[in-house]
Amino acid sequence: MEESFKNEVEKTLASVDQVDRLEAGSYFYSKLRARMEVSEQPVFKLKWGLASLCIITIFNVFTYLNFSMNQEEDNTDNVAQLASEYNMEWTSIYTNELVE
Amino acid sequence: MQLTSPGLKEDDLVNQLKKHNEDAFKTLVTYYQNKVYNLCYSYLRSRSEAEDLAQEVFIEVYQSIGNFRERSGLGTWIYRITVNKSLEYIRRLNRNKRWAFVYSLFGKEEYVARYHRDEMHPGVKLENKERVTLLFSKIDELPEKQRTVFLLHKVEGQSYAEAAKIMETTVSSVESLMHRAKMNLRKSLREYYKSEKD
Repeated sequence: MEESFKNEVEKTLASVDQVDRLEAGSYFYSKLRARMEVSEQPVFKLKWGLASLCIITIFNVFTYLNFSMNQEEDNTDNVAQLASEYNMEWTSIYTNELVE
Repeated sequence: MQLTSPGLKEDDLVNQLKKHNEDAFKTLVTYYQNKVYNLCYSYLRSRSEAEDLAQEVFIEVYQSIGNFRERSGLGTWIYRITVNKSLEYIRRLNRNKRWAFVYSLFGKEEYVARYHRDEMHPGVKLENKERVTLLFSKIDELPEKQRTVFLLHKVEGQSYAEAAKIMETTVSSVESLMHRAKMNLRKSLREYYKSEKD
């Protein structure tokens, strides 16, 4: 009995030698190129997307900083101009109290 | 393992590939596509998945040729990528099977269901069908290194020295892995035939 098992095992192990080699389909290269073109596109888009995002962020930060600095200067100028037009003096409530 | 395309040496081909030359890439794919596909099929035993994986191997070759240092032959390097990608694919598949329940909760059954093994190896004659199917199912149960040595040597016809280069190990280690692979296969096949008799 043990001998028959051994024969079966050896026959099964040897069966791998009778397996024919497989061949990739005839359009393998065309399919590969098509897939490469598709997979290249998102990378291209992603690269440009990231670059555009960086440029927009830098532009926004620059604009914000520039605007906030100008606004501070503008406010001071505007208040001073308004005060001189209406002959208003720079006094605080403490000055008023002293005058009284 | 030299590329034997007439009029084109391997060094020249590698140089052209590094420049992403279209003709050189086509020559490489034409020469290696059946070898890569056949090895992928031996691991996965699904024609569609093997073709997908073989394509991934060539995409990797195209993208990483700049890192190829020519310490080993081009063929050895391509076989190494094929082995690594195949084992990686099987690990990912097993991981997905373990998480199949979780995927099904989120309606992502296709993560696992996409993969179907072919009923029969296309390169097998009908009288050998059962034996080869049984043998490959037992090969699947072998540890990764033993499986790789067995497939490279018995299915791909690589010598022990070439298998050692592909697996970045010594020839004696490959011999030992092959011995253990055969021993394990004999053991599990004997158990199978015994259980069939009982």
